[in-house]
Amino acid sequence: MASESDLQEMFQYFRIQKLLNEEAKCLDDWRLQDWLSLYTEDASYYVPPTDIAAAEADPTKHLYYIADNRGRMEERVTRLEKKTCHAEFPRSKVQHVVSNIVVNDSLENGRLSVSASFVIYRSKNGSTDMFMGSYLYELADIEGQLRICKKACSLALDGLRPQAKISIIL
Amino acid sequence: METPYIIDDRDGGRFKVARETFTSQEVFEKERDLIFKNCWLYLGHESELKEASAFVARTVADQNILFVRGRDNVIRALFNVCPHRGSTVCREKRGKAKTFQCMYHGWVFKNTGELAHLSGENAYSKDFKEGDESNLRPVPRLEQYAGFYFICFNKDVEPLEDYLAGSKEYLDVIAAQSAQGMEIIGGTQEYSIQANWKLLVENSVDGYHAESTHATYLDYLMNTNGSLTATRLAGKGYDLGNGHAVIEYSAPWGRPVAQWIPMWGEDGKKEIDQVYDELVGRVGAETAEKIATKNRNMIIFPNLVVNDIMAITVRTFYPTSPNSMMVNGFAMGVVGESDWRREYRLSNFLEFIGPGGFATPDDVEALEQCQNGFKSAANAPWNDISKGMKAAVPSFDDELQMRAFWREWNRRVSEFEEK
Repeated sequence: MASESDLQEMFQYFRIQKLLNEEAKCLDDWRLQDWLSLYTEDASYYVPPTDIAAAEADPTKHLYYIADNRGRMEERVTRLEKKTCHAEFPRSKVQHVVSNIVVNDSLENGRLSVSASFVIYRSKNGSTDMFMGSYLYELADIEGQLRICKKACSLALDGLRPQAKISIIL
Repeated sequence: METPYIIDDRDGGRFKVARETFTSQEVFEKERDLIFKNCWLYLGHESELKEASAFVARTVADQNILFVRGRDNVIRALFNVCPHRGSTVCREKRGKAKTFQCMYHGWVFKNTGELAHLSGENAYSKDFKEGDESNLRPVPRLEQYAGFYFICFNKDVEPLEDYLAGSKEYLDVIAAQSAQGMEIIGGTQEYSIQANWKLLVENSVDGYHAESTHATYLDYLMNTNGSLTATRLAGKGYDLGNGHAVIEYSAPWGRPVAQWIPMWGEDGKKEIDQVYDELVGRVGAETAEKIATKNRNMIIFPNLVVNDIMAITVRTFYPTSPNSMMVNGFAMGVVGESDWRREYRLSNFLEFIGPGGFATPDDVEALEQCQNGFKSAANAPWNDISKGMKAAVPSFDDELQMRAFWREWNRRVSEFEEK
């Protein structure tokens, strides 16, 4: 028989999985405003460099590929919604696959730390780029809703070769 | 190629480049032999080797090079190739090491390049280990200017300082930004672009494309409160000799050294003012104004870009085929600058530059689309870079700087045919 705490853990896992799947679906469907709504007002989104160990990387000390606060996340979405965002016009086809979700120990600020693996395919101009790596999330339970406070995407890639750019949201 | 590479009609004010120069295997091979084996190529910055025994393993024009500060404190460029059978000796990208051991037969080299240990030494002739041939080979030439280290695969090349010609003055401007010196900030942007390398040369010093290619970036700056001053985009292009060129211009964005924008607040203003005042005290008012308020996009022939704009980017690249290139981008900052300034510098850098920025992905798209267009070179054969050709003083958004590059490129590649 599953105990009460087992059931709670399962429920929590289910909520997290649902949130991550929803995020992936928003990004694949190019519903970027919906994507933003999954994030808190103080959210941040990072893609660290591929030549610094994930545990050492620090956006105030190292050159990241992406280090967005909420304001720049919104501007990123605004940009991606324009025709003049040439890298994504016409839009690429994108498929996020999110798996291997692990709930880590809770953080001191009461937030949840969650890791997951991703594989993302992006097709445009007759070629397909693949991005793979791991997500590290900080999630907050806000009035019964799980929201994303922070997402860091560590690429399991030796540089962006041949991808050249991260013009989509990982 | 049956047509000329370029048409340089100074009287008529027309400059054309044959699109086949971006697609031809024959041209690619000439570039490899006549440009990349004969020109000074950027290897790295002295700040990457702060301590004895620090090393960086890097690929320059397809050759694996060890950039290393030896235990004797001498900076060297060694081929990262085992003299025994050719395997790569150091397979880590950077670190500290007193010795390097080849994985294949276990030969061990001191970080000065000297063979230190030879397994099965008894089976070799007596003086085998002492011979120079069993050491890691040094790259024929290594020289530095203002902390920028360059290598050349041709031992007879002219001295680096002669080669750099007028670009030296602009490297001095970078070095003069701080009394503490400049450094490469950790974290390399490593990417490839499916386009000919010369497209990135042109793009890196192209003042004409911003309004169209980077419309979303300019929108972003305008939408972000306090991210701009009233300064207008205005400036000039200069031919620096030997194929090097620069555009120098004023621009409305913030510069860590030293142009304040309202977003940085009153505390930021105090700090930027201090930076400016320190500059004036050290280099004089005129040079300080140039360093602090002017932006510079510079190409050092053939493949080093130093762009001192909202942040400093040092970018080098080389072709891997006619239609693909490898790119390495680094951010440069002031040694010991405050956390606040470093953070804004990095923020300025990555919101514009690099694979995840608001601008570079659109450059990549443009370059790859050009490469795609060049497939029709047989019937649509010419690129045009005539803009501002008849101007007495070419503007920063004219194309003088590209013509300077192409004239030198043409001179070097055509030499082959005359022989």
